[in-house]
Amino acid sequence: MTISCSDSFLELAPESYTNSSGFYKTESHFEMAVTGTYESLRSITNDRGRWLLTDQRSDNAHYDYYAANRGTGSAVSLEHIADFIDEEDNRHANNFYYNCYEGISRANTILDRIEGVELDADFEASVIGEAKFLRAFFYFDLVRLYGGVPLYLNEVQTADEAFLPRASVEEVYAQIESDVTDAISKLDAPSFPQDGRATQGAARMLLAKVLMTKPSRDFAGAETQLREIMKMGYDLLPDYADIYDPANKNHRESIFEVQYQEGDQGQESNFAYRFFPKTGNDLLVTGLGSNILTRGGWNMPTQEMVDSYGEGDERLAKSIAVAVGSADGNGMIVIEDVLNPEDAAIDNYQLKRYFVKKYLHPHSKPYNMDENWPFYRYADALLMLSECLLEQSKGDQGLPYLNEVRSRAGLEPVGTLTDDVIANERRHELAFEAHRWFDLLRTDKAIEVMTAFGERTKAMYPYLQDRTYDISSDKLLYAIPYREMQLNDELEQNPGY
Amino acid sequence: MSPFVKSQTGRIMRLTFLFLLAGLLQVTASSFGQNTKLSFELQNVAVREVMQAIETQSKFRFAYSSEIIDLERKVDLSLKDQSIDQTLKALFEGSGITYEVSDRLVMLYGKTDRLNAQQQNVTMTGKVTDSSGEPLPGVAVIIKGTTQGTITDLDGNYSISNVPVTGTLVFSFVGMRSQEISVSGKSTINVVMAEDAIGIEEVVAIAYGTQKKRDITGSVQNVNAEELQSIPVGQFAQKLQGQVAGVQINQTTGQPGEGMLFRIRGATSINADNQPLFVVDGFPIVGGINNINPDEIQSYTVLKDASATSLYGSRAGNGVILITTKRAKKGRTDFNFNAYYGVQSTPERGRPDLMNARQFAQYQKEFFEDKIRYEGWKNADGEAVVPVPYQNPSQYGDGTDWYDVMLQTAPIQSYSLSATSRKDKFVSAVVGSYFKQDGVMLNTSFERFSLRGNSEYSVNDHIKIGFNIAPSLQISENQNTDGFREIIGTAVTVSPILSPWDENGDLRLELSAPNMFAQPNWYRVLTEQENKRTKLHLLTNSFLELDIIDGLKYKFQAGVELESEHLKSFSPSTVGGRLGQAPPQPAEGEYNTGYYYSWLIENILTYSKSFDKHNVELLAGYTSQKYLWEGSDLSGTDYPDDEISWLDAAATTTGGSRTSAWTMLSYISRLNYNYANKYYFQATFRRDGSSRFGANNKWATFPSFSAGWILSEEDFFQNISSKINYMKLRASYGITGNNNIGNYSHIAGVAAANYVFGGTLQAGKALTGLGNSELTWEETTQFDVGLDLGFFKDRLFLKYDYYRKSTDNLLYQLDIPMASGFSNVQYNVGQIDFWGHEISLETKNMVNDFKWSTNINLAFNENEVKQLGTEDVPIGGYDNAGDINRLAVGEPVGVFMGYVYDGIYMTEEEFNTQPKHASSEVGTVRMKDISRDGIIDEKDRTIIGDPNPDLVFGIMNEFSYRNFDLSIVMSGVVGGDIIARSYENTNNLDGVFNVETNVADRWRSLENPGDGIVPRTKAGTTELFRFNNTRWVSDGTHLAIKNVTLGYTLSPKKYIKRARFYLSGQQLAIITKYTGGNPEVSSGLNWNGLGVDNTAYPVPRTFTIGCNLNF
Repeated sequence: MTISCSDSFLELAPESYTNSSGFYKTESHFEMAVTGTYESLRSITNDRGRWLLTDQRSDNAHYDYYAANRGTGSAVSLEHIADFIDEEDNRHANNFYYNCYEGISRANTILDRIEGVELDADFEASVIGEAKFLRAFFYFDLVRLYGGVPLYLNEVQTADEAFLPRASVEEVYAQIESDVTDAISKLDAPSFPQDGRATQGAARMLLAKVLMTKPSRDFAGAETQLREIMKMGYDLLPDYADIYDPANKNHRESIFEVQYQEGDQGQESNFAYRFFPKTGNDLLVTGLGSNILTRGGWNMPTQEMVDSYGEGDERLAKSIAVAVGSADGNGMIVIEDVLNPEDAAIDNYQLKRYFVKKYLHPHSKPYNMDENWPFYRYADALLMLSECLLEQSKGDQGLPYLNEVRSRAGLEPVGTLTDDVIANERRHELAFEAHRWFDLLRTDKAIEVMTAFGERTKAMYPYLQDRTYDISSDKLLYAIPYREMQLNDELEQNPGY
Repeated sequence: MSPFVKSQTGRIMRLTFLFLLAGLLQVTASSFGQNTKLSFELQNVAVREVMQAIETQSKFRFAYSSEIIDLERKVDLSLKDQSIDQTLKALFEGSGITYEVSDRLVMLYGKTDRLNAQQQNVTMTGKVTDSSGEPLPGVAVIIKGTTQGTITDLDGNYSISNVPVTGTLVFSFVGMRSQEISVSGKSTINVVMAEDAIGIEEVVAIAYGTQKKRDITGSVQNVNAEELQSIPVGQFAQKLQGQVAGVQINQTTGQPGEGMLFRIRGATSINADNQPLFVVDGFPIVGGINNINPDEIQSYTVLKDASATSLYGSRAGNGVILITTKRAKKGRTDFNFNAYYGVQSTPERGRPDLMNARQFAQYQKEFFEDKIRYEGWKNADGEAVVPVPYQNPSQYGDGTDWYDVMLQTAPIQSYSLSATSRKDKFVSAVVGSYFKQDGVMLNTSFERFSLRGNSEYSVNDHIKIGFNIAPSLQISENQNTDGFREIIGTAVTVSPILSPWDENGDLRLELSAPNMFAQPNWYRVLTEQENKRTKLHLLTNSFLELDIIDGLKYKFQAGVELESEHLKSFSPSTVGGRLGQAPPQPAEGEYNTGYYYSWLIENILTYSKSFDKHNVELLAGYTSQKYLWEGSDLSGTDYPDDEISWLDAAATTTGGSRTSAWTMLSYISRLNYNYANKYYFQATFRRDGSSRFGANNKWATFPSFSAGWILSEEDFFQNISSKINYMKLRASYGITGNNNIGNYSHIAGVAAANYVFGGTLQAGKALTGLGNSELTWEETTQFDVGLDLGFFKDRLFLKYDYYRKSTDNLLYQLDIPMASGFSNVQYNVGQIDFWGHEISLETKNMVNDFKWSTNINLAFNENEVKQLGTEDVPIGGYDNAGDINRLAVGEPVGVFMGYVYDGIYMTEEEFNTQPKHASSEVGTVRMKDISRDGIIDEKDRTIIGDPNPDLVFGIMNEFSYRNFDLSIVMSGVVGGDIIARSYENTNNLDGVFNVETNVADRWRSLENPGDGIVPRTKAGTTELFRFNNTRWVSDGTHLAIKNVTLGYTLSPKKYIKRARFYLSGQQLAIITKYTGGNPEVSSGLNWNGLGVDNTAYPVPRTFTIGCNLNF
């Protein structure tokens, strides 16, 4: 053997998986790369995902306290988020940050690598549009939950490029606006039936939310976007429960949702299992009979949340159910029946546990469900439009949109639009869809609402230590992950951590 | 541990030292005196007979020429207690014979011959045998100071003429200790050659060849496998423990067939592997070699410094262990049968000290009393009462010892038959064996069938060919016993009130108790799970050797290593689930297969030439090797029931397959030169090309240089050579590499990231990491100086080495902010320095009827991290729980990170005046405020332990007296911390686990504050006590009595040449302060996991009876 053939002898590339050298070259590669970027949406929603940092942090939900499970593991760190005693090493708050950036990095790689590759112009526009929409989507979550985060806008190829300082909140919003504006120009309006891809409708919805949330609010701008959405053919589904039925995925009311699929292809969702009561046997809830003592018990509707639904609001029983039964040795529920929250029979049982049932549909294996996670719905757009109009002192014009939503819920129309009316409507219409905490932040109500909620909750549960629910403005942002702080000298931690 | 045991050991060690000294002194004394007294009462006997009688009664020997002395002359002799002088005078008076006594030699002269006696020559004959009485052919017999000599024939006989009567014969044979015997007038000299264990003339395996020990200029240590024969273990690494200075071998777990880890000279890398390269008969092994049958092995050679290892280039950075398998001895046919049977059990020492049922109920009762008092706790019915099972602790006895429930006394057995033969042009060795070890934990075992055949043919004087083939089959059953919260770690935390069996004696499905997690019945998990691994391993090796011209040889070698591995596992519905998740859980099954092959081709030319006093040896070679692995995993779910465990019964199966490969091309060369066997020089050079490295760094060069000087050959040394017979100074310098970094690390992978659109699965992809085309070898430069000293003809042999090495270009997983989309990138940036002293001392303290030899080896290793990445950011040790070890510049590798335990806040005043954690209250744990900011938080985590031992040592003593032999092997370390992570469970204060008995004395109130060590149980305050902290760290210093064997040898002569029977005890005792069972425990010997006790399978104590039969 001689040197010349020895060189080829020494050149081996992995055969059973793709490697980067041959990738990002063809249309199909970019199609796969964009698909891969959507996949990060699953990371931020599944299991202990987006609901944890939003709904679980809000006044909609508390959790089922499992006294035995005090491990250094995940349970306690989930509670810390709900109790406002999370620290910079809270693994769930950290993971959400990482997962958002995973999506951003995938989008960045596409946007960098597509330059200089000969592709069909329309195809290239749609790839760029989707990548920019997704990048903006992830940054919007980050800026709301962590403040001004580092702005990574290019593929990181060497270690040196990986260390960036934080940008200001304004800079992040400016980048999001720029990305989403470009995405709007490149994405098509929705065509029905939709398939779950980002559309111009989703991008306009994102932009409207950004404009309503950024430090210098722009309700007029948001109104423009929302009115464009009105023209795109979206509509409310007649039955509130149908919104969540996997049989109707990407329906007319859906503007953007994360796609899941039951089965063995790794596309299933399991977040709903987090919402079922902690119990040794979940047969009466899921029909399958698993032990979900450590898995379940999160994001559980509080009694006051249940009570806050108006008389006759059909959404209550379509969103929430109650498991009733007796206590096991650890005081955890042994489920004897699952009832409607308004059922008087509840009082006949030793224990009751409210749980989110929106996302509960028949499935054949534990933790393997077909449920999509809704991000944007037309009902949300209607309520946002009401709010934009009210904020521009055009409350009268906004009223019909709100009442359209109420009417679907079987409620009487309201006569006057106020901040509270809108907030209350949003709380129920969008319950447990990860909106409540963002709404509290956006409307500057978080400290007030959560401090009061904390006082009531602590009075009910002696296991809550004094230091819980000590809510200052510091607690409106999560900490930049401890690991990032340790590694990157250029980062500054959020105050209070 | 009782103080008694400790002081006993101290005494034994002192005694050992005294004996050692006594042995040394005895060597220097002359053992023969002139005052021997002789008595005779002889009538009419020949002079010859008298002379024989004198030789029988005393140690005197006669030297004479029969031509001048009338041996048949009849004499009468009546003497009582006379000296030799008087005896000789009486015998030869009047015969004209004169005599001279010199030491034990009596020389007889005729009247005229006395002046010519010096020139007198005789013919000597005799027979040479080995220690077992077997004739030795081919032994060189040379008249000292001449070139005249002969060799023994097939029956071990020799005949050599023209030997001066005052001359000396030198007997030498490879692998045997040379002997010099003075002729002293004898005509027959029969010699028993002893195998040369420490002799400097012994030839040992080195990289790509063999060399006499005296000629080696590097740091090389050889172990003869025969000496380890009666250590009853399945893995050779267990036998090597404590045998070689600088080689730390830890048995990190007692799982049958598992857990042996090597670390030569403290080798540590960050991402790459630390295991040395194993080379079996010249073939660098790819897979694990731990389970090769130890009976196939003839010797081990450990290569430590760069000059010894660097011919293995990019794989030599962690040291090299050469294994030479059995070869036939010259001219002999041997059949050996070795067998042993033993019983293993788990020692009492080191078991977890947890509460029994009564103590535990009391603890729970108090736990709830405190919960009611401090937290207003009520049960589900709204009542503030202690749960019923805990209300009356006195109703319980000891309850279940969950550790003990999982244990059994288990047999271990081994049978091995070998036939070795060397006849004419054919040499063959065949070894077949069966080994079976049942585990001391239920449902665990290891079984091995193995065969090896080594053959060599000499086609003619110039051509030799050889074939080695070694197939083996290994079947093991091991459960997930080891690790944090795996079976052992979790089972021991179950309430001792609960039993694996219910009232009817049936196995429970679920274990649940108030305030505790419902969990599976761990007895069932251990016994009902199936986890069967089957490995078929084949190693083949063939060679052709040509003598081209005088001194020039060519060797072609080709070999293939093959392994096929199958893992079948099944968890029935009765065992699924974990902590907090009780069965029934859906049954799950897996069937994973993988196989690899690695082929190697070597072409080697050697040339050796001596002219005058210059001796030169050259080697040049070219090798190529390829490794390819393919494997598949299948897993099944949705089983209808637990009856059929194969995947055919599963309604759903999923699977995948994958492959991985590497290739390597190398050029090697070596020059050995010595002048007059005094001054030595060696240079080696290897150039490796590897597929594993980036396009820009495919090739690298590994040179080494070494020199030696044998001072004892110098003239100026001769006047002390009777005391110091051998002295060599050595020095070496060289570069080696470590390529164990994964096959494709330089290439960024793209992995599937699929997503569903419109209800249809769409293929998606995303980068999985950052590539680095500059990626290359880790490079270790090593400097070594050594001194070898042999005293009193090697009765005492001392070897000393100082080394200093620096591993640079460490393959470093540079952590980067995850906001980049990736958690790290592979870089060659990092440096760790290692240095240390190694001493090994072999002594033959007593050599007569009572033989005693000692081998002591000591290694003092140190290391320091010099550089990490570009920014020196520490790696690891960031989390409060789990993530313990850290690499930080200026520190030894793998130091422990955690809090410094500082007691508890015993009073209000202490609480009010001292730094606090967010969760602190009176009665909770206090950690030291290292950052001095008044707040206890993660900034107060600091270095709390160093897992690197200061000294690793081994002590072996061997005794023999007549037919008895006794050997004692001890090993241990000084320093090296251990952190027991199990305390995170067994010091848990939430009442959910069984806990250490000392938790009974915890803080309960100001009035009842306990012993000040364990804090209170109040909810929300207990977590800090579970974070890594100094309370879990203990000094790993220990002395282990690894093996004691007592043997008895018979030589029945008929049918059986030699039969030895022995009793042996393995892992007899450990003396240590560490409270866990196994101070060698470590989650690997990589930096990450070093010294961490995550709970491991106990290492059993074994008592064995065995035999070695030689036919």
